[in-house]
Amino acid sequence: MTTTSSDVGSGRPSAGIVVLLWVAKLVAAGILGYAAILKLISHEHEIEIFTTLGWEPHGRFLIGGMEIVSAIMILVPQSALYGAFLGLGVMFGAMIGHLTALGLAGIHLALLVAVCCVIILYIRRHDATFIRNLWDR
Amino acid sequence: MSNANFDLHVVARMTNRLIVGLFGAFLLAGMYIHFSFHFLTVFFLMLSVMNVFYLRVQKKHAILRNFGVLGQVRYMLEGVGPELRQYLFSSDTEERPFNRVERSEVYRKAKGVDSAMSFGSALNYDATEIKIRHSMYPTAAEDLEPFRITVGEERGLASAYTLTRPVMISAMSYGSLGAPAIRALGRGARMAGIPMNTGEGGHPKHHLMTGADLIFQMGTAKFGVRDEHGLLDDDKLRDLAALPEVKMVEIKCSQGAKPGKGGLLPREKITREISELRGVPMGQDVVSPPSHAECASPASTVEFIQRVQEVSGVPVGIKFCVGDPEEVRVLLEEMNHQRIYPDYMSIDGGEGGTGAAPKPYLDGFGMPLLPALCKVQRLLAELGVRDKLKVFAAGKLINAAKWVHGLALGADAIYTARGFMLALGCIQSLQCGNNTCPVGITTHDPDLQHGLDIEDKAERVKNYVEGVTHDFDELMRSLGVRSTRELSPAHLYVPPASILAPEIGA
Repeated sequence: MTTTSSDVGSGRPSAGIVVLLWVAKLVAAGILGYAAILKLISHEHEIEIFTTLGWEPHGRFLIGGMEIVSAIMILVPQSALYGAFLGLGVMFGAMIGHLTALGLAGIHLALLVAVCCVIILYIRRHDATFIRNLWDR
Repeated sequence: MSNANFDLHVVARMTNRLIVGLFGAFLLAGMYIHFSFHFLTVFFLMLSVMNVFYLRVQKKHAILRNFGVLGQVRYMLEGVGPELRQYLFSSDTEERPFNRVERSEVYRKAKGVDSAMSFGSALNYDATEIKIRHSMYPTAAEDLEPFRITVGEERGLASAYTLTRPVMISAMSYGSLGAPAIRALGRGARMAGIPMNTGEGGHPKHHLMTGADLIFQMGTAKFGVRDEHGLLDDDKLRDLAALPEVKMVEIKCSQGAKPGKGGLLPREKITREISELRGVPMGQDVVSPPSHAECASPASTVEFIQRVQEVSGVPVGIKFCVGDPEEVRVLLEEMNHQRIYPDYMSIDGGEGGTGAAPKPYLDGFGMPLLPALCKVQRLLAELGVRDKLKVFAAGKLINAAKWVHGLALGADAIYTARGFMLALGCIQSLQCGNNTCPVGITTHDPDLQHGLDIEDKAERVKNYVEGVTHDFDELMRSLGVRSTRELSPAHLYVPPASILAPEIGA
């Protein structure tokens, strides 16, 4: 006699969406984490880049720190949305750096991470609790 | 959103252009002054991207399409509105369903601290508040008879159950509440010597673990005692009622939160264990049928009561929220006709309870408790049924004065669920159906349940019962009566503006 209601509203995402989300997460977190480690271990290529920008060494550690934090946040489901937001911001900065000072070599990685971050942001937009009314109504 | 002096739309348009302009300005500053300016470039770039999404891409929110990121401020403020209102802006007497004055009294009782207040009542004393008429000749402490009613004595049952306090924990299932909350309630009930209702959550596994006296509730879906067609399985009920903890069985016909509709458990709250205990699938809301299939008419309802009485062998009650009192009259006449009476009737007020319910049902259905209680009491007396059964009352009766209201209007004992939730530490954040209860009561999320310490909260449940019972005894003495049997509507002062006034002719 028990009846069940139909699935209304935003229920479980389909399997395809889940796969896409995780691919985006792994790609973004992988590249961000790798770039962060190069910066934090003072790889000479990174030192060169940040010397060009006039940010050596503090800016390098700051950006490396932001990248590692966003990589970890992207991998933790509860914070993925905010990690992607931070990662997108860092990548915007990287793209500006490439376009204005560093030359275009290597910009494709920043673009790839930015696209992944946008995918994560879009799929997990309902997690934005501080603007939850935006999605619920 | 605008007035003559201050056009927010113009402000928003200018802001949105300014954001783009600042992005450009900081980009140039970063290129020609110092690269650090690009932190600000990125910030305004992100705002610009969000603006493009809000103003041009999304189509659901007109405010965002017209105002962009400034429009989002509205949603952010609205999002924290309930919290801000509760913490900062609501007065002590204006929140619903329970205002701060009512809640704090329960908290103080539960913590065992003095709940005396000074400088007068915070309530709207003149308009609608029902007052209790004290006597010039109060009862001496030693003359007060201990509270005692026996359910089932009318049928001469060997299993008749005696209540020694006027309050019981009303129906809350495992499912609606999480396991730690059930444990704390059960332990508290055992310590305080009161029974607790299991709610319609199937086999009361977690309730049984606490050792408290139980009233097994049989909902319309008959979780725990159903056969494969959803009808009553006599053997299952017999086995369950044979458990020493199960003292009574309650047939739930309807409930105040959603009279005319069956129980509802949102899918967020259905764990694997709950789906097994109830025999329902996961990932879908579980909606019970609106009535018992066996109860299609007054005659079949009374026959069903008799069947449950015979099968279970313990006192059997029915719980309902009054819709049309004439239907209650017909049911009582049918009881007289068949000479079958339930051992008790529990009258649930239409005020809504712990249960998740669709908004129109929560707000719009069912008679409020006190008028309903008056009606039922009058019908019972008129049809000569009053001495055949006991009457319980449920609906926001969370303090001693409210208990007196209920008992004076004819109830023999009081049911409360939300009073006990408040005793457990409920802060009324109204998230019972979302599995996100911040104090770990109505959730199955282990992280949130972590906050609820079973030992401590069980103690609070006991304190709450003892504190309110203590108050109640004092009120009885002030009323100048020796036992609850002497209470009558004449003990209440009902102002003309009260919904109760037409019922008792005040």
